[in-house]
Order: sequence, then structure tokens, then C-alpha cells
Amino acid sequence: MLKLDKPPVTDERLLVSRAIARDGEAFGELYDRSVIRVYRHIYYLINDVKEAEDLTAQTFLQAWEAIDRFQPRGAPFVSWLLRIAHNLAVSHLRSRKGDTQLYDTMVDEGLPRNPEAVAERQADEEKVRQAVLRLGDEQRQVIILRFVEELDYREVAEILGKSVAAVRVIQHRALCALRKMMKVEEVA
Amino acid sequence: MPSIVEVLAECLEALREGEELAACLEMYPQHRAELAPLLEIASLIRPLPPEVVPSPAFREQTRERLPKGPDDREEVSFAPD
Repeated sequence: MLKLDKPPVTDERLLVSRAIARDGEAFGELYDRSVIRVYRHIYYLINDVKEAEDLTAQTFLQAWEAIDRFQPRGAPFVSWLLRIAHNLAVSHLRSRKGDTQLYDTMVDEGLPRNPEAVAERQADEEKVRQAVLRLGDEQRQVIILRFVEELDYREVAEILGKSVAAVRVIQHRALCALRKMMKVEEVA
Repeated sequence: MPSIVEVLAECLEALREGEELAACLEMYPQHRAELAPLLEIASLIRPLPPEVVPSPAFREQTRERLPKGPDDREEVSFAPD
């Protein structure tokens, strides 16, 4: 007798449709596909393993709760997840008493050896990270995917459901916005 | 003449491939004033090392705790252990 197994579902739109219909298996598949990206996004913003794990789990729980509000014709699913992740991370950072957690675990071998220069560069990197947090969704996602995840333009365009040309324009606007924020900070 | 958007995109790619900043700026003297600070800002955004990934134990545990269907909506908690 012919065995009629369900074919493997690989199309994301179909998975999302099934998840909207409260299919836990489809939601689990979406989780498998995006958990690393969501975690790394949060880790960049939070810089703490345990907190990043907790917020990653919360992101998927919130996504499940709100999935009927997801617009399948809008931004891709992972972009929607990253927006939830960002909102959770920002709320979490606000609840921290003074976010002074520096990226001391990420000392680059290529940095200058002069301790003052290292400290100055780390302080500048931290200021930029704080400024990235204040960018709008679209610009922040492009910056993180391009520079933190080191993806190329085509990959970023695919994830965000945009053209390569649009990603380049957003990248330019985002870097201009970061520059402006850094200049304001210098003056203050 | 290429736009600043295109020039910036090309320079960022060139820098990623190991090109020197000065060489990039020399290629586009007409954009130098705008380009230089943008490239500097970009250089301050530190990439995350590839080993920054959730642990297999966390991924598995969280996967297990994901809602399984419509009835799971209110019952799942991700409170830290």
C-alpha cells in the first residue's frame, strides 16, 4: 500500500500560514530556521548569554501569541521576529540599572596595543552600539545584518524582502543617522 | 558620476575585502568629505564572532517548550530557571 506521508514543507510562506492557523509543528520549523539569527541579534544588543537566551525564548513566545497579526504580504517573517526581539531587548535594557556593560569579551586581535588607544576605541564602539539601538527598525536591521552579521547586500535584501538597491540606500541613511547621533554626543 | 550611495556601498565592500581606507578615498575624491566619516562610523561597528550562537541545550530546551497548538497559548512560560 502506498504510504502517503505529508511532503516536507520548505516554503516559508506556507509555514507562516500554518503557524497563523496555530500549527505548532510549522511554528517549530520557523523557530529552527531563525533562532540563531534572533539570538545573535539580541546578543549584540544585550551582551549577556543568559539574558540573550531568555529574551530569545520570549521573542518566540510573543511571536506565537501575536502571529495572527503578522502580515504575510509585508516584511518577511524573520524581519518581524527581529522587530519583536529588538523591542524586548530595549525594554530589558531600560530595566537594567545603567547599561554599562561593555564589550570586553570581544577584544580584537587587530586592535592597537596601546592601552589608551584600545580603551578609546572600545568606548567609541560602545557609543556606536548605543546609537544603533536608537535607529528605526529598517535602518537598525540593515546595519546589524551588514556589519554585525557581515552579510552581503544580496543576503540582506533577501532577509528583509527588499532590493539590493534599497538596502544600499537604507545603509547610507543609517550611517548618516549614526554619524549625526555621534556628533550630537560629542557636542553634549 | 556614481551617487554617494553607490560609492559608499562599493567602498564598504572593498574595505571588507582588505582594501586600505586611504585607497578607497583616493578613488572618489569628489565624495571624500562625505565618505570618510561614514566609513569611520562603519569601522566602529564590531562584527559578532561566528561562535556567538545559542547553545544546543538552550535551543533544544526552548524548542521543547514551544507551544504545540492552539491550546498552548496561555500556558507556556519562559521564565528563567
